[in-house]
Amino acid sequence: MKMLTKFESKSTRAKGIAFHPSRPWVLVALFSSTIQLWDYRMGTLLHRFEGHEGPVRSVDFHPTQPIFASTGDDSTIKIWSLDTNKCLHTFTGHLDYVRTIFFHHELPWIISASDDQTIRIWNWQNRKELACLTGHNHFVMCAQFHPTEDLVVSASLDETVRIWDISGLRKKHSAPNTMSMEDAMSSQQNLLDGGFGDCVVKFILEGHTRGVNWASFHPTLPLIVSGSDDRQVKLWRMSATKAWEVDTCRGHTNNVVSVTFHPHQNLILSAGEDKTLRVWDLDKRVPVKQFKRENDRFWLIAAHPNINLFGAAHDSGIMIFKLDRERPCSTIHQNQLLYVNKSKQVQSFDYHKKVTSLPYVSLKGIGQTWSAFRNISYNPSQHSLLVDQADGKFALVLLPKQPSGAVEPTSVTEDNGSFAHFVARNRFVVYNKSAGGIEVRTLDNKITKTIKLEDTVRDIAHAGPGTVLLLHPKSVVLFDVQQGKKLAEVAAKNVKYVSWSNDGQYVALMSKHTITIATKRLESVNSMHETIRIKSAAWDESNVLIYSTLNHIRYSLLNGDRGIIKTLENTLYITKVQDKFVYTLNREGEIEILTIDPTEYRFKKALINKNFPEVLRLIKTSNLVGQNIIMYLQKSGYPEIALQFVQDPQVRFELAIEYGNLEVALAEAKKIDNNATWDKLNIEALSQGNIELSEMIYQNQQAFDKLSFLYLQSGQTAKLSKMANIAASREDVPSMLLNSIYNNDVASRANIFAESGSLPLAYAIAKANNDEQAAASFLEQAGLDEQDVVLPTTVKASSSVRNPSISEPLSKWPLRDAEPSYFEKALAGDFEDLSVEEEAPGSAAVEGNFDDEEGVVFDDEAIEDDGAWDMGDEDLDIDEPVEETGEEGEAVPVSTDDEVSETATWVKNSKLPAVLAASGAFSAAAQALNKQAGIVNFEILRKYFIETYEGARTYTAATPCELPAIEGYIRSDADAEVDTDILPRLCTINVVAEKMNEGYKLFKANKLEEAIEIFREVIHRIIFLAINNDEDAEIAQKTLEKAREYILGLSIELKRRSLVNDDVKRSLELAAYFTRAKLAPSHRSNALQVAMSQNFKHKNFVQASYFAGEFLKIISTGPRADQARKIKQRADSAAHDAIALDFDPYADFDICASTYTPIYKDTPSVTDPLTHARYLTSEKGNVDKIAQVSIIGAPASGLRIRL
Amino acid sequence: MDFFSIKQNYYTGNFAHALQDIRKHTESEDDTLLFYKLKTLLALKKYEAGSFKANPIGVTFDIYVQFLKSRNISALESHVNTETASPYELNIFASALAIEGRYDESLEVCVYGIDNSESAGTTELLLLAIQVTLLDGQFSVAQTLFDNFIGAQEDNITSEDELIVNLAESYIKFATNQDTTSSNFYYFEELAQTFPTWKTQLGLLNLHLQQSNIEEAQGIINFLESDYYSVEQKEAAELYKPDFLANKITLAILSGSNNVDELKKELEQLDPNHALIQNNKKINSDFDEIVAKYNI
Repeated sequence: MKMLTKFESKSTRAKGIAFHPSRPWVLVALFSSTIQLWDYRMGTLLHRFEGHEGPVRSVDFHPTQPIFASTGDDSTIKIWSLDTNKCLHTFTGHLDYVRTIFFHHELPWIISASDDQTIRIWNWQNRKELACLTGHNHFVMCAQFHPTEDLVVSASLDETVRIWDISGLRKKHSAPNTMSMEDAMSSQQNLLDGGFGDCVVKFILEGHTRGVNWASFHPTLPLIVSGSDDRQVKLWRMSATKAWEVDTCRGHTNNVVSVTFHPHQNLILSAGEDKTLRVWDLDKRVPVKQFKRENDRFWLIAAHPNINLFGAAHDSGIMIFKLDRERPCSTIHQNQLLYVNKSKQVQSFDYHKKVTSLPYVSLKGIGQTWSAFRNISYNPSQHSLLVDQADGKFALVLLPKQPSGAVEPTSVTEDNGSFAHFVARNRFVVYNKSAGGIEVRTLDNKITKTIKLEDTVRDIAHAGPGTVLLLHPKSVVLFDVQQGKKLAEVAAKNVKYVSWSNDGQYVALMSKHTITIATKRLESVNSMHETIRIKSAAWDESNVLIYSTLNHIRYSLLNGDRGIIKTLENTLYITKVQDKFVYTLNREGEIEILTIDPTEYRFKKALINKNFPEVLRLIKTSNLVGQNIIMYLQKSGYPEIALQFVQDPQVRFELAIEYGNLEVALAEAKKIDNNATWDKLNIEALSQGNIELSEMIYQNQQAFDKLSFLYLQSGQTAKLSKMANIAASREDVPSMLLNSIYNNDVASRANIFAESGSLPLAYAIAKANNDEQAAASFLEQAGLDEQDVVLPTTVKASSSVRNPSISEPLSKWPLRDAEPSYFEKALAGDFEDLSVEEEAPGSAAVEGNFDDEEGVVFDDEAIEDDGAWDMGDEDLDIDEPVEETGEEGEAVPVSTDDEVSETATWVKNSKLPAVLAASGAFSAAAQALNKQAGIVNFEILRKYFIETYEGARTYTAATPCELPAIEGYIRSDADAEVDTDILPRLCTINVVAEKMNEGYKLFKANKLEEAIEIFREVIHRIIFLAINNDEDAEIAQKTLEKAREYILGLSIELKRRSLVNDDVKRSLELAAYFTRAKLAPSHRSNALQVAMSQNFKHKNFVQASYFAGEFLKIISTGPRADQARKIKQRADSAAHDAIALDFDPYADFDICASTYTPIYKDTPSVTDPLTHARYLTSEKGNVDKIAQVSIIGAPASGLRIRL
Repeated sequence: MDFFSIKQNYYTGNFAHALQDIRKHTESEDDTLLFYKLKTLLALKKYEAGSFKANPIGVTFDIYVQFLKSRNISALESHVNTETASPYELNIFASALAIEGRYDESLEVCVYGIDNSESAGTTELLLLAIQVTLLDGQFSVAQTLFDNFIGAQEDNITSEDELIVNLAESYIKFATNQDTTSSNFYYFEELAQTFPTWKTQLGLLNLHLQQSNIEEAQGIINFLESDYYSVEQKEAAELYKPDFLANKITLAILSGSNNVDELKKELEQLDPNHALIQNNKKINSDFDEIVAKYNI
């Protein structure tokens, strides 16, 4: 056993601690009057709560609510809010120091123990004191509720431990939910009465010889443990009627202040003023381990309610620690994982079959009882395991051929040596710490070679046959054991774990916070840092590293790009990644298989490799969305791809501009419609020489002068003249002047000056351009004579504007190449042959991987029988491509601004028809159903659409109630913590199952029409399912098939019953066809009975005999069987048929669900896309007769109901 | 003046007690008192037109009551001058706008009132503003309004206003599925235990529905259909009947009962303007288009 410290805080004396049930938080009660809240995972102090006067002695988190309680020497109990960090209420009543405070596990109660010799129970919700337990005649040091029963245990300096029965108190104050109205009323009355005296002493435990400081209940067994100033820990047992002392644990050399049971293991943990924490074996009551601090007395030890963590408060702070490692050791061989479970049994898991084996052996007898193993290494040749016991010893254990249970191993060799590891079929290495070298040993544990090493080795890891990785404190060395030499080295600090890629090309070296990726020659590829501790890693088939941290599953590409795939509730250790499955071991030593969405990293990888067809396929077949991916694409230089994911006009505009797509940019600019956007678009239009677009923008902006200049530039003289007219009509003189210059219209210019009162300029222009007549007229207007005017010598005729050198005006001048990108072309459908079908994932040969290489060397003489062709279904897991149902203009409720509505979240998380319907996106839902299952007759489904929508909503009265009611949403999981889990409440598979049973009942009652309606409803309801596990999805699929068969069979029978009497042949044929419907055997017996009796009646003895035989296969006893036997006997003796039927009992055929005629093997037929009922080809295009909603033979991708 | 118990009774739907408390202050002419008196009388169906003409709030309320019958808001629009009206008058006016579905204008009036008043009535306006934004589907606006109000008023919120603030918060949480299984549920559970009225029971019922707790929801419905609630609190039963029916419809869908259509008909007759019925009509007409589009 090892104490692994996870966190330590330094402070003044800590008296109490409490773990938050779900978050990585711990509360610390300090003697200085402060309460600290720490995040022990990140090591940060989150808040300090001040409010108590004097020392705080005890704190406790509420098991579910965001509140906690504290108490101390000021005799008060305070309830604090974790949302506001404020004190919500202070309970007063105790008359002296309060020692401990604890919440009840389910009721809104708290319990306090005080030096005033009382224990009190309070209701923190209604803020009332419920009970005051008197009886102890000295300070009460501790009082706690029983974890499940209505009991309290208390410890007092009066040297006793007492057990109190508080069931009377519960009766008086129980919750009203499940009560009748009368009870509820009376309980409310009780709350007001305050009801004292409902708690009675059940047992008094005497045995300690000095004051008792602490007493705790066992979480599941009827045991109590107590700690006392007599330095002893006592264990007590109780039954319904009595309680007695079981044993005493002696060892502490000073007062025992706190003692508790280990929540999962048979251990007792105690804390003492002798500065030690001690761990005791609960079964043997002997010490297991002790930890000592130099200078600090311990004051409290507490266990985390859910995680394997403990906390201890001492004189200078607190420490949080684990008792031993929780990582189950494992090793992979070919498609098998060998691992050691929580009970130290060796099991295997087959990745192909997804099956866990029985235990091979139990390793309980190896190593120390309470110590976990560090590592295992497997030798397939010998079928043996090397177990690294973590205490400098190893064991070589022979495994039985077949797993048959947790038996003792037949052969175990134990010896000194660390990090034992197989390196060949008949060799393994161990590290000899004292000698500082590695030893190569045979399977008989004989040392064949010793290699001296200079650096310390922290661990040895697998590196293929004949080689190992030596993990040094500052580097990792690839070491050839045979040659005894170093092959390569890479700098990496404190590497703890190693994971090789499947092809053996790369290795991930993991330390606490860093992963270094290196090639097989240990050339560093990249290195990354994680703030949260790294736990494990495995490579997928395409060399993407999937790794787990304490709370995430993440990925890393070889170029260092990484991201989060999934959040974990509990820490998991990844053993293998295959396609979308991540195989892990949890801390309980059990296999957990996670399904991940590999799209994001596959997408990034395809981009990096410039595998554009793959990128496109992923875009089309997946639900890639989100700001991250857009940012990523933009950063990586693929704005045109990013555009495919964006709805927001501004972002779309920016992206389109970035890669010069004017068409998209224009469409978005129209939506945004502001000057800045238009300006930006114009710059891009001009830089591309798109004059028409630029003209349009100027026109929109009414930028007349700019427009004139554009016309001038592009030689559009006619339009330039128009601009002059427009300027005149706007009476904009500068603009008129400008246009006259652009037009080189001298006469106009002179007139403009003249009209604007600047006759000298008008005259000068006319004169300079030799228009004597106009010049004279201006002189006359000015009342001057030509001689009065002296013109500058530089005045010349206007020649600054030249005639355009092109005959036709320009409309486009392509300056910049804006060739559509690969994606634009592809998305526009230019690549017709581009396949967007999903390839069968994981088809790449996983076999022959690196692990196999090891196998080849090992198994050179023992090639296993490959047996028959493995065509298991698991190899054919071909996913359905995800369909994009929301087309352009579709009313899918996606938010338009920052507002993310509930329904938008639903749709974001799933595009299944049911989810779309619940969100109100009926059109999208209908479209999806049409595409997936060829559904057209929606009227029949109206009820389910509406129900699905309304079943996900509820309405609460507003205040005042004349206002419209406020709508709330009902989620499938009201507790959903992750956004991606948020979905609407929908009809469940159970409802479908109930309906099915209803159908069966009607069938039995011979109410066939009604039964058909119910079976039809079953199919309709299945359409609106959204199922989150494969098992239920399969059930749904099978139920749909069953419902189809019943509808078909019953319809045939109804048809038979409706026939007129003289059509005997058809009647007999229908009776025969009815027997072909795949009904439950007990139901099929009815069909067989009808066919048997009808055929017999009409002297079709051969057929009758056949049906009787079939009947007897199902029902072999009872009057019906007797009758069948008689018929068979008589029919067999007659042995001829009076009427030839179109029914060959031995042929393989289906029945057309419309014409009720046989469809033999080679007859052309069509199927219905929803029900998969078969029809003659003549029925193609008609509505399916089974569920009556889909079109027979319509092209469809298949109904999707799996989330 | 301390309005704690009046507001507590009013907001928990205990109108009779609220009125009793109000009547203890017969000599007061306080606006707040009058506002709650009018609201309580209306809820109890004891309001008589023209009884409070001496006070502008009384006059406005009179017009509001006429509006509730006629659904013609013009008289109220011409009567209320937003710039001069008191917060309570604004509250009445904004309520009418909200009933008309004119959420933007209603919100504008509320915000104007909150921003320009320091006096009593702003918390009531906040509650209304939040409901209006929720009705309008502007959930983040509702949250921001709430946060800003709390941020600005944190130190000034009295315990009587805290009741209203808590209710406003619970509406936001209800509409945005926050803390559905925790604090919002406990809020209603505690209310329903401490003040067992139609309103609080319906609140708790809704939270159970949000968690798909079918048995518990059915328990409350049985409870509300018992004599204690249906007979002895006849007025409240009548007042909350539409909301009760709406919840019954939801529960019927959740539990797969076959009386959904019957209940809808009953609700439509009773309150054709109820949000459930309105939504139902809208989605049915949406559906008509789909039927027509794929019609064979």
